[in-house]
Amino acid sequence: MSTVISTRDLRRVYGHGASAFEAVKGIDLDVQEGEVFGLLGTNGAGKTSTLDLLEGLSAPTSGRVEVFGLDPHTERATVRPQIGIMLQSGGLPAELTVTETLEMWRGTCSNPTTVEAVLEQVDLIDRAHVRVGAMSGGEKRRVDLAAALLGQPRVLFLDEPTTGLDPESRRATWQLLADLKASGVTMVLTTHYLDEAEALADHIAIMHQGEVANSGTLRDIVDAHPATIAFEHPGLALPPLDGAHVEARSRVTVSTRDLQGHLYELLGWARAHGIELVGLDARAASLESVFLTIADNPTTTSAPTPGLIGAPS
Amino acid sequence: MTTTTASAPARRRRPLVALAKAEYLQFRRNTTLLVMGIGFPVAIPLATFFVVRNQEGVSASLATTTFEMFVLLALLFVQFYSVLSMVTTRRSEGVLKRLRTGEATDWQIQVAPMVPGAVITLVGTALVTAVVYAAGAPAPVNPVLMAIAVLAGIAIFSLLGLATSALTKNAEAAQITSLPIMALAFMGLSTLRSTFPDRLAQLADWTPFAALSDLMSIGTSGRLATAPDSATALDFSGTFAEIAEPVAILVVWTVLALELTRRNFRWDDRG
Repeated sequence: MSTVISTRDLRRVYGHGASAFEAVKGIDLDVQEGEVFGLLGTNGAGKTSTLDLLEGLSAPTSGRVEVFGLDPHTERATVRPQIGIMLQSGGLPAELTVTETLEMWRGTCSNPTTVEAVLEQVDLIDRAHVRVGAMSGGEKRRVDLAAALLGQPRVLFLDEPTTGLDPESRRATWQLLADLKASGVTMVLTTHYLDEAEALADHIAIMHQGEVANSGTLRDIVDAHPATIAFEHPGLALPPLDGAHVEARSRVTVSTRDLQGHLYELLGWARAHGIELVGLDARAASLESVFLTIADNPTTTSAPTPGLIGAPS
Repeated sequence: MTTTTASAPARRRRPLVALAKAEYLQFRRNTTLLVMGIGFPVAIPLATFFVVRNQEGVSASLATTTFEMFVLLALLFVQFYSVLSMVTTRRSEGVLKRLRTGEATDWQIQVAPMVPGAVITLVGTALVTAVVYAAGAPAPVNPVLMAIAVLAGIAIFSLLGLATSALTKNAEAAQITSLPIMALAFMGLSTLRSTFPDRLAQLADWTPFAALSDLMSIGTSGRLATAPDSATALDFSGTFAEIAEPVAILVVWTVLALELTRRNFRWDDRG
């Protein structure tokens, strides 16, 4: 496997002087050939700004970005024929039909497949002669994807590819992306849907306030994060739970790296005291809990150590 | 080995043709642009031509006036306005931003919206010229100058459309933002310039349409439309000596419009 996309200390500042805003604050990423890389984060975390830099749509303020070992901004003419880009929104002329739009796009590609082929892939064959302006948001999104696929790219950049899709189309799009991955296409995708990242992404980077707050495989990220046990406070002194972080309020929350062991201790203690633990809830960390922990963190002053965000100190 | 490989382009890539074709389809579906672009610039000059011809007979100066009126209306309402409204619409639809994610170059994306207007202007020129000379107007002194004027006009007014689009939020706003260029163009009409006081007339001579009008006039009749009636007409070779100033003015405006476009052009409404 070779590295297809690589960034080092990538930065992007908008504006000048007092109003300057650093949207991307020194990002290091490596995307291997054939993998799906998920870029997650809250609104305004810098996902789209980062994607713009990877796609070569904007130039970094400082730092380095390489796609196939080339600068995607200055060497755009060489890089573009090999990549497909699906922007977050819009960009389709309302007055053209789907086929006319895709034929226009096809004419700009150096190694395109046919319009029929991509329409088949996104399941829009029967809508081929409908005006884009008359389509639903979800259908337009699939035309967007079809356009990104026309040039037969080796790398696909997908900015929220399933936003606005109904559940059935979403599943169909996942299947399509999984098929593309199986055929060797490398993908970078941003999404708000954690289940989408879980279903598709081999590697995940969670961005927060312009930085990568956490990254790794789904397993790495989840395993590095504590599980939680919660229940209503029973009103007497709780047993000592070694290594766990206990927050005892009206509802007790236990953060633990030993879910089974601590749960066993707690249940034994409850039985011994003849107590029922009301509202008992025990769960392993999920991408969602990791994500929410990061998103709830109001300030990240220094670059955090990957894998340790939200872990008890 | 087979004859085609995956890396070899299966055909010659023609992004500008594909983009221009899409622009043409959209132009055709825009009723406002169609009426303004096809009916108006051809019908008004030809109607005027026949009314005057039936009263006073045909002359080189009538042909000049007809061409001047046609070129003014075509450049403003076909070329300039279509580029302005189409580029503005593409930008607010996000189409310009999206096209930049593909393989088309910036200049191809910018030139494509000029093509439908240019084709209609050229067809209109052929039509009006054919009717005027078929109706008995004296043969032009130097048709090359007329061609240069139309082509330079298409280039300058297209670029001014791109530059004006930078200041235009949406297609409706184009009705207001187009006014300065409209006024600038009308100032160059020879009938207006000959009524201006000297100082203003000298200034008006430097407007882009004045230079175009002078070239057209020298090409059609061998004399400037603003010249006194006593001035004698130039012959074919004599016309080349007279065109240095209007050509220089057109070059200046082309460079200016290019520079305005280069500095101000926006691809995206967000920034």
